[in-house]
Amino acid sequence: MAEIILRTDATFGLKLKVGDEVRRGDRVGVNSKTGGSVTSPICGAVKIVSFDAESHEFIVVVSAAKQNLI
Amino acid sequence: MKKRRKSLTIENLVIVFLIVLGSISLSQGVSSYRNGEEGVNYISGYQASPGIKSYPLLRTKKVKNVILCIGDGMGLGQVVLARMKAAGLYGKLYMERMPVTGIVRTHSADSLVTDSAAAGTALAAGVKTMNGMLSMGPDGKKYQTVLELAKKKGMRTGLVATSSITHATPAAFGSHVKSRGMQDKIAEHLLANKINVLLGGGRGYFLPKSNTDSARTDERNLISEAETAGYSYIQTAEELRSAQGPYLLGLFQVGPLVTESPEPTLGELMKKAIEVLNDRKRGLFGKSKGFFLMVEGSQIDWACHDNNADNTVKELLCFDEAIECALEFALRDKHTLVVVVADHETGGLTVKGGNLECSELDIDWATTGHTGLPVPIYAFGPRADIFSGVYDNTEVAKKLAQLLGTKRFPRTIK
Repeated sequence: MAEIILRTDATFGLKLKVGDEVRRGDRVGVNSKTGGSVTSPICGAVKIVSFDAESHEFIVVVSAAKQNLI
Repeated sequence: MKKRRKSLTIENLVIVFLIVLGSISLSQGVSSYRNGEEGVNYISGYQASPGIKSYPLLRTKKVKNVILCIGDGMGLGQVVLARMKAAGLYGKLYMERMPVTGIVRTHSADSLVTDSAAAGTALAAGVKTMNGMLSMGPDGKKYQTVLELAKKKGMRTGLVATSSITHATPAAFGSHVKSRGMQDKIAEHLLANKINVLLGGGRGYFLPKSNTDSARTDERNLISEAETAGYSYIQTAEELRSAQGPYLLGLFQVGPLVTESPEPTLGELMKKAIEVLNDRKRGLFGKSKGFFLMVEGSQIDWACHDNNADNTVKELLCFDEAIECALEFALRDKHTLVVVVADHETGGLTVKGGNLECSELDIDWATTGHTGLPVPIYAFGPRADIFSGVYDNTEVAKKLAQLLGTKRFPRTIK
């Protein structure tokens, strides 16, 4: 199954947790470099959420829902 | 009647014996609990402060040395939880025995919730900036940091952290960049600033691109450059023990420290930094001009981002152990100001309930990010009194600059 990796500024807490469903365009968090929004480019479910201390970012892995693959 | 008295005496003795026995077993229970519940060993060898009495207010007015300790993400909730776990309800951490306390507001120029870069900039340079920026104003102008000010006044300087030494908080004191992510550039700035002591992680940012451990995008070997410039380079706890100044670069991991043996503890790093910086034999006629040292307990923040209470306590006690080393020196020296503060709170940690023995605590987290809550500040040493009250984080740098003899602060530099 296809997955995408999103990185968001850890200064701001994630509202998503593992298992949550996201739709295309849903706001995931804040971009560390631009301060703009990070949105999910696909529909799917949050598979992994982890904190990367070195970059001070959350890494969010979203597994694509079946309709993305059609 | 006499018989009755005698039997009472025996009864009393039995009661006293039982009380003593009970006390021993109770104190053993408390003691084993101090190093963590259910086998969690928070920090090997750490003992919470045996006393609860505050350290004295010093009458000496002359500040010769400054040790600024920053607990990343350390709000009052984190301090309370660590104290309850390590010292019980009525005990105290070492930082809590410092005689002056205050409250510091933390927002940045562009957000109610700051990051460590903007907060570090406020604490180091006395100016509000945007999240992500280091010792630059929102307009990109560079601002002098208290470390640079100290350096200019002939004082020795040092930065110690359990993160990469190029991470946001230490970087705010020794570099000026638009983005905290520019860690290879920050490494260059730290060395160009000729900071006497640099101890932490982040070796990757000092190694050339061709090295497998490198995090750089060019072929500069900053470790070789540092050695050529007079730095002693070390990377193990054993090397740390015999290391000498006046310039010391210690990079103990490719990335952040793991804060486990065989790495040196933050307390050991603090002790070595003080030893190198407090060299009394230097200068004209052997007179020392003092030192400025910033030490960060970096990973309290990281544990809070994970909403991990055990690691939060472990990292906070690791930080408190280092503070004990600073206070031990300052108590002897009499001219050293120790300030303990946080850059921001992380996690919105709160203690919702539990029992008075603190063996069961009901805690909760509001977020996995930072919060806009104010943070505590503690001070000990000459002129510590000026740190009491409620004020903005930029005031910390201004107060430090004032104690270093500079009224015009913050100030831009080229």
